[in-house]
Amino acid sequence: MTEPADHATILREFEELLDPARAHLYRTALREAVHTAITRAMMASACLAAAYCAIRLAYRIAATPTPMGWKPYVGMLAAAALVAVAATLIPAVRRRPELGETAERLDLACNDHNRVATALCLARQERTTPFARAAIRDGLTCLHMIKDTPPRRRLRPFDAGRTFRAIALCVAFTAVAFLMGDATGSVAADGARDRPAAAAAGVLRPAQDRSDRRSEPSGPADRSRPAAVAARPSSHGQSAGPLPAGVRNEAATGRAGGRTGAEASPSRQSASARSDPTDASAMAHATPQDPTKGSPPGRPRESHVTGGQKQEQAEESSPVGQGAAGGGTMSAVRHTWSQREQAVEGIRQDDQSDEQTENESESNTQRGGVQPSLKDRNEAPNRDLGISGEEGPPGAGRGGPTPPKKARGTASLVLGVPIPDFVKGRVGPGLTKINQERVEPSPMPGDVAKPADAAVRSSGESPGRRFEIPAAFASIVRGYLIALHSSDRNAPDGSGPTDAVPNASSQTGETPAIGKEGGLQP
Amino acid sequence: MNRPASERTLDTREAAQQAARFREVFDRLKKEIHKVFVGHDDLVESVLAVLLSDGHVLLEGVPGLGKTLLARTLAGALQLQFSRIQFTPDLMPADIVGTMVLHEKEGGGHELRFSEGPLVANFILADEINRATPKTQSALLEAMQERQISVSRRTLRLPEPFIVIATQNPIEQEGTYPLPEAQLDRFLVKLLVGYPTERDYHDILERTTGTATPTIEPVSSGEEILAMRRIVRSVAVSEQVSGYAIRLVMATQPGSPHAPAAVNNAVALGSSPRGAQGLLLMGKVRALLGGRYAVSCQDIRDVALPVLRHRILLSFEGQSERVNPDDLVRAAIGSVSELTG
Repeated sequence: MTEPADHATILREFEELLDPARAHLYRTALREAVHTAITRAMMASACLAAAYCAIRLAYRIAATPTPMGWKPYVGMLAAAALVAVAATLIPAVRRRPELGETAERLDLACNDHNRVATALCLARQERTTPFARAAIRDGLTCLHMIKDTPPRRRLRPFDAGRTFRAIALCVAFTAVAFLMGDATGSVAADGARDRPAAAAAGVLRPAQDRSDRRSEPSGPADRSRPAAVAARPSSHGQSAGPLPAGVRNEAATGRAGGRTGAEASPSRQSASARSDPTDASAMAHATPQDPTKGSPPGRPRESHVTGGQKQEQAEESSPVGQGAAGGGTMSAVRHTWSQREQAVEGIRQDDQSDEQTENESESNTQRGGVQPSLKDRNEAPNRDLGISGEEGPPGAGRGGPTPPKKARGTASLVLGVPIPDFVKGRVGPGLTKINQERVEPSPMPGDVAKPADAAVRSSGESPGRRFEIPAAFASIVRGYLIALHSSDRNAPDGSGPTDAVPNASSQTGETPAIGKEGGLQP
Repeated sequence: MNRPASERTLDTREAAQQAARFREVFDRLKKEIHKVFVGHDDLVESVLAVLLSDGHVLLEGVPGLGKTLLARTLAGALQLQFSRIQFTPDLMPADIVGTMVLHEKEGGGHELRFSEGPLVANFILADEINRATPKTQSALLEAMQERQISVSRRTLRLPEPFIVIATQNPIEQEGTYPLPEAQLDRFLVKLLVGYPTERDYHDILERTTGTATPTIEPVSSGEEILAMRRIVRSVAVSEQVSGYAIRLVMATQPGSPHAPAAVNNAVALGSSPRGAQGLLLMGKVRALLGGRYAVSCQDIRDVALPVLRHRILLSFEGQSERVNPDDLVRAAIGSVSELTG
């Protein structure tokens, strides 16, 4: 264990040895901070330019002179850049690299198995073990050798692309702001000078219109505007829900219609918030009836319509309000889905059906009596298995649309999949019939193998006798057989043959050897 | 020239002696093993490092590469009680732990006595460990972690040093039972046994097909192994290195701030704190073998693969894309910085 005095001495030694590396790290960090500061300054300036541009645009839309001129703008740009530089550089200047970080980066540079950083870490501990002391000494020895090595700290390169982008943005926003200022003359000092020219160019048309409109005396249309505005939600509320999509679109087009693209400018939009009487009348005429029947080209628009009249007009002109039979007075919200489907077709067929009814009534009268009207003929109920209530005309069965039909069998379990309830094919085909032809065997045409006669023999002969032993082997075979059966002769019961030649080998159990002469060797 | 303060105040003789003794024992064991086991120097070093850092080894390799031979040779080089358990599907926990057996008393009557299983030994070779059922594999859990076994109401302390060397075959998956995660986590390292080099083949053939049979002599004892383990544990570790090991382990855990994208995509479960313990213990052995008194980040990186590869549980995505856990450990190493700041 090291003494406290030694402890401090060792730490001081570390500090002295790490000082060059620490200074190097500090310089590197400062260089990096300068690079970052430049980039951030440019970005701050670009942001400020963008903000200034947006403010000028807002003032231009509001047609109000911008309260800030160019000189303050340039000053603010410089201030933003300075703030960004200061915010980056001051912390970098104040922050000195720590000893531990320096040691770690020095280890990385020298690839010395973290000896220095480990030694420094262990030296800072109060209690040390023999291995820790050895590691501290090892680290100090290593540090003495590598103290002049620059520590590893990768200097981030100057982000030139980002900086130049920021500069370009700053210049671009400034140019835009400058151009806007020239056109509108929103700078207070230049406003009075530029306004006539801008007005002549028509740029200030919205503001001018507004001022003109203010100066006009209020007419009857202005007086009726609150009522029209009040009536609008109610009429919309009635027709918005059940309206078909196409009809709604037409209505929406009608509301927005009557305005040209040139009038759809922002200034125009702001002005339309306080719409003039012609706008109100346009909305009143923007009914779904317009595209189908359409108003005559020369038909004059009613410019002075009250809210209640508009509502009635809207209901009358709405195709939904006409009902399925056409011309119905049922409210649109009370229509059923089937009537809603018929509504669109009813719009187109309305006039035709009226004419047909008139013609048929005339023909019935001419035939001298009232005949059943073929028009009332109903289609037979559809009994196909499937899903009812689909798109298209309602079920032709009794009572209009029918609920999904319930069918028996498996087909009802598989919705939408037509499954026949019968099987095609023969009914009960029965067992397979096999025809078997009875034909007598007959020789096939061609070569026929003829049987050969077997060897002639007498009835007492065995087949073995036909194998003749050559004379040369006869004695050998004989001797072998004698030797083979010699044990039978020496049997204890004496049943064996007695005329056989006695053999010594038979007593020992060995296989007798066969001599060259064919006899047995002793 | 004045001597530096460190030289005056820091006495390093004790540590130097211990480190030298450690290296001497290590080299002696390694040399003895290489009498029989040819090649795979890093494998032998890793097994010895595990032995000296108080852990257990899982050897994985195809048949015929000498996994069992290495374990048997190491057991022969140590004066320890050796026990080999051949794991089979019908092996039961009582077969390896021991059970109560009815004995006849001398004076008459009977009594139940505990009959120790083969697990009660210093050096356990669990051959083909993945052939036994998880039930039997789990019988090793308590022994490997707490160095004791419990049978009925009896708890038996296992002898020290205690080391389990298990082998398993990676290709024969039919009829085998993969080791459960808890069991895998108890192995300090998982070592992959590869094919020998061409030169090693020559040596293998020369030693195994000739008349001369090499014999293994015990060159170290249990007491010496325990002393070596104490030396390993006394190696210094700085906060920077321990922090690096911790960040490396956390980098294998999906969702961790240090985890790379590969880990987040392919890992279901990362390493446990046992992984960090293993990194430091194995790193200490490497530091001693490298002649240093403290662990470095490079030591941690060197042992990261065998220590962490079996502690990573792949997710379904990882399994379907056949991600190798070694690649994930490498990705984790690449994503963790040595610097503490």
